[in-house]
Amino acid sequence: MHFVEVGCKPGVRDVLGQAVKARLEEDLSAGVKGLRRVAFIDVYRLECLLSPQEAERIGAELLRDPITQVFAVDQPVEGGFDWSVTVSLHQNVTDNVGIAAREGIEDLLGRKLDEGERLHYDRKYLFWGDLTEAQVRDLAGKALANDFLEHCRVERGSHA
Amino acid sequence: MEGDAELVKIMAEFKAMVLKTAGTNCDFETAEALRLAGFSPETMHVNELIRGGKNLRDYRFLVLPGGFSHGDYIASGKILANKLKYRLGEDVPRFIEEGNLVLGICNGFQTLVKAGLLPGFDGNYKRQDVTLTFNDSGHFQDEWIELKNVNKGRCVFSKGLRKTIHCPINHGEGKFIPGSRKVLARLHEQDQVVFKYAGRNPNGSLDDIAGICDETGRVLGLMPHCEKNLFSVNDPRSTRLDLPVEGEGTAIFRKAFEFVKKRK
Amino acid sequence: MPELRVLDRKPADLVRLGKEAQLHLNEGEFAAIQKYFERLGREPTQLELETIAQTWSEHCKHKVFNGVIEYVDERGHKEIIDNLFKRTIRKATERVAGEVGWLVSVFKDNAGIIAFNSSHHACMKVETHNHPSALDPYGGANTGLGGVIRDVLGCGLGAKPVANTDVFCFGLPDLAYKDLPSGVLHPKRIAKGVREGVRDYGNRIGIPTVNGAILFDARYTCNPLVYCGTVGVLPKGMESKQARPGDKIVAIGGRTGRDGIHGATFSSAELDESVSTSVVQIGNAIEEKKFLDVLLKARDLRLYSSLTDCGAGGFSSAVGEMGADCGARVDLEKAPLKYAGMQSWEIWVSESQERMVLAVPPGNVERLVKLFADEDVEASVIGEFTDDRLLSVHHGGQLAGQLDMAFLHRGNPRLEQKASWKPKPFEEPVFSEPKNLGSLLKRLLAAPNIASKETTIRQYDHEVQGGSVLKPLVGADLDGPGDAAIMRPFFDGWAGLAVSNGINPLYGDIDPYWMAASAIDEALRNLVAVGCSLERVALLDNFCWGNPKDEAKLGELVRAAKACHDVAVAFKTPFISGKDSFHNEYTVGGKTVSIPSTLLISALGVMGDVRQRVSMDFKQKGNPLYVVGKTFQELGGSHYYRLQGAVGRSVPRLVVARARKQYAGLAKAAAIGVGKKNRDRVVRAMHDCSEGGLGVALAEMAFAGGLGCEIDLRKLPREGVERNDYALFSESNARHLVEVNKSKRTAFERLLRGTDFACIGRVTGPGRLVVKGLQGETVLDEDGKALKKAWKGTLNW
Repeated sequence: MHFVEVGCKPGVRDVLGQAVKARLEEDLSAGVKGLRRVAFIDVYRLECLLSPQEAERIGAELLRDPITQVFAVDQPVEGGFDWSVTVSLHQNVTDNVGIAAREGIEDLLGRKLDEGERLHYDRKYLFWGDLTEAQVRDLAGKALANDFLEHCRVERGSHA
Repeated sequence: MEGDAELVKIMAEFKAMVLKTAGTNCDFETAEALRLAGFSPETMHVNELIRGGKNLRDYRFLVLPGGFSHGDYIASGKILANKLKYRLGEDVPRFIEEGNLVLGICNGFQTLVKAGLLPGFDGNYKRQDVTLTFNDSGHFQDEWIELKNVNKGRCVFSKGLRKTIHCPINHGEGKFIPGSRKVLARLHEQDQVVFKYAGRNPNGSLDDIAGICDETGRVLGLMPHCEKNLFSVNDPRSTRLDLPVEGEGTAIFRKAFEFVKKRK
Repeated sequence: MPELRVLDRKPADLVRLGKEAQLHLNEGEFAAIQKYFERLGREPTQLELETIAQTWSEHCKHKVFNGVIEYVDERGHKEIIDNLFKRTIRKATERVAGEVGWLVSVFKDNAGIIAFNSSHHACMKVETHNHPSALDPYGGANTGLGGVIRDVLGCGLGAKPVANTDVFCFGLPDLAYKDLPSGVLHPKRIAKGVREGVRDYGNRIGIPTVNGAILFDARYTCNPLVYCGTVGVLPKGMESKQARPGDKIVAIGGRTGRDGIHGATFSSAELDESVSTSVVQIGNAIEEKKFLDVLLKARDLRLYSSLTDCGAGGFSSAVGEMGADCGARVDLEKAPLKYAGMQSWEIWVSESQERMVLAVPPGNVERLVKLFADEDVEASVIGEFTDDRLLSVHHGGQLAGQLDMAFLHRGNPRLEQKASWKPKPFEEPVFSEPKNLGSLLKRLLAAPNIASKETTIRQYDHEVQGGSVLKPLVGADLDGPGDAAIMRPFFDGWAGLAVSNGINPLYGDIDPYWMAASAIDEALRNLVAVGCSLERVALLDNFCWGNPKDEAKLGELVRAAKACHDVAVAFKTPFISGKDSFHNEYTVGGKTVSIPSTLLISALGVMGDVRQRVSMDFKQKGNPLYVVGKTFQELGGSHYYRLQGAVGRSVPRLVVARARKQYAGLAKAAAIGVGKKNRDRVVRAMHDCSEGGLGVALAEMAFAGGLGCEIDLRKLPREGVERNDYALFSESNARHLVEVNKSKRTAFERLLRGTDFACIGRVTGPGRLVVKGLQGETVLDEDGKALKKAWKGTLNW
């Protein structure tokens, strides 16, 4: 069981993170004024029998772009944030990224994964700013996740 | 008939492969572009190459068309790029080294770049030195642009090609980013920059770069869809301007045909 | 879920118990079910009840349209309408069919089919996916588009989709959060989600989204409407299909899970705050693209005898429909599942996306399965068609359910309904002519229904497949609003298809008869505006309505349907397909808000030569400007009255004979000079007048072309219009603004002889829109750039 987090290299514009920040500010205005920065992280949960070397290789060769991204295996790729919101699809909702990742991994490792081995994709948002937990939960519910399809995990950063 | 056999033989010499995978969606018009230029196009699923049912060596021109291969999930072009790298071994590098042509349009360009087939510095077709990432706007954009030919002679597709080509961009991840200043400098020094966006840069690509080639000049990748302007009736300027029947995009495919014909 | 026993219960009790089990069947239906099982001497199984509920749902049976309606009109005159659909929509097509030779298949298959060129037919289907989009806008729109695409894939023996359309109705985007009803997503969030859902699916599957509309009204806040349409082409000779006894039932595409269970029965109920979550799904466009490619190959190899899509009701509907005339036997354990532990009925009615069902002669099965497997698509034999006229479903050796096909498809009792119509008590507002018409024009241009939709449109791919000739945005800077899309689906020859739409619920607030008439005229005049003649045009109807048990609402439906009949017959434009969606209402805190009755008309026209296209942007300084069609005092339901806070009564009407003559003349004019230079054309630009009337249409043509104009209202063909604001903003139907080549005026006027037309001014150099009023004074003098800015500023999010 491993997970791989992929984020932007410092210096590369985090287009998705910035778009989320702009959307939060534009659509929700109230309560989001304290938001300084939003980072967007891809999280791939690999519920597969993989060695640490294989997980490392999957991160390096498949899941991240060597020009613009950094990755980390089994640990956060970026810290120092105030809050993180991880959005996961409910168990039976179609996970298009997970399906594609499965094929990519099979091509990379040269073997088929078992039926029981699963891949999941989560979206993780990191927030820097003066926000309370209630505010973070509120904007997660209003703009980041739809209860019918996905659930959120809100966590306080070590920095906060 | 004897004449037919002759024709079949000639046509076989100009076979082009339009390579597709799950989510490829511009193969129809790409095949038409090849046909107009004189090639015999065959659309082939990458599984056929992987299985060994078909051989790249029977073709003179490999085209990776546009689309959303594997949904652009993980990153656009990445999964197909990895298939080329890890399931086809040396097939594509050897195809290039044997003097053939490769063209990647939009998703095809993304694939070539992520597989390391472009820019192919030092003949190394496995190392990724540049990338194509999210447009500055953060979303898919559909607009017509002016593609400017800036190559000084290295690229076979652009030698003698018209200065500008009006064609659309339809992409969400078209921003060209070189791996380093050195990479960018080398691209310029070695005349591997082929196309730039004239006027407004729609996606934030560094140096307005819209297309590059490898050191042989026979591998070209570009983000704009030249294959969408094969007939001026599809060119939105045509209700305001008088344009020739043939669209400006066909020329790139004609250049490819000229090259392959000369090789015979 | 516990089994529902039906035999010893009162049908009224069953309705309540059924609702709890999410089986939305009415008393009459439960009574029919009881009778059937009484004869069999047993209780129904859960699977059987679910099958019946799905097949008899509104979505699948169109019970309202096919039932009996006792209708009382405004004069107290009573009429018994036995099958509203047959008496209006269908009757219109039957009456026209004899005179037009190009109808191939109507109201029968998954989409309507018309003849296109010497080798192919064209087909179109439009569907709505409203309720799921209210809960999950992205997924709802996503799967809505996926579903209508599959309808076209399952049309005939398989059609290739070549264009998508989408029409959305949302609540007001600037609604304050505190005014948002509980349990409802904010309109802007819904709008963005829907836009992205359609974008991500349409772009990925490689079908260009080329025509549509977006409307805003507070009454759509809790019930957004999402209409998705697809146009396809199929080879001549492939329009018929029939599953034969002995053919294997093959399921292709995605696996089956618990997605969307009760989507079809859901369509028979109103939304309220407590809704089950299994109704929402996310689509996998890549899966659908994968099998789309292979399917057309398998079709051309003639490997199967019939097919249909798995939509509402999943396997139960697909297999039930295909085997309706012969019988079918299914073994559910053969269906590939997403996960273990699903019950028989869940597998059977699951609405997992991206699945289709094929009828395959046994000798072709192996070859077909391999063809799909080569491109990573699963194809599984799950049963076979029989000749016993039964629908038998087995699971792991046990019989899970068995129903008589005749009972399943024809055993549902018809609805007995009541409807009435009385005119609404709106009065015409009384106010003096405002001084500043320029600022009013700006406000109209900035109104959400009129404002530029560029931000949305540019996120859709219009170019994939290389067939779009006239795109949704046209003009010097490709930012002007095109009236209709023109596609050329094949690279040889010049034949093409034009697609347009007409929708205006504001007229329905006054009189749904004229709303329907106007919607049809709008769709048709949009086709004419791009140079498409009305010689071969088919219509599609999509009704989104409130509660059909409300007599007044049902009365509105009757009136709208009658207009559909009258106008389609008069124009000779037959209906080929249609759908309805009811119960678009929301109840919170005991109060129920219904959407305005909303009819969408889609029009599909065949163009012999796409080079006949005309775009609406002004082309050349000095060219004369003509108005074709008379302007009346018809501001009821207009955007101008809305600005004044009024609805009014004088809703735009229509005299089809006059409109037809105008449109025929315009089409002939557009046909001159085709294939030659632009200066050889008689018609250089054309635009229809609709929301915001003449004023908005002029502004749009001007700023799309980067040019200006000078017009004189005294020259405007009109009747009963004596004020400048009314002249500029009346929304009378059947009017076009035409920029004519200045050296071809005589030719143009000759072709329009006998209609109401006049030269009202000319195109001027870049800059200003200048309007001389009815007293000869300048009443409007605005900078085109400022008008464009106002038009672009509202919806750029």
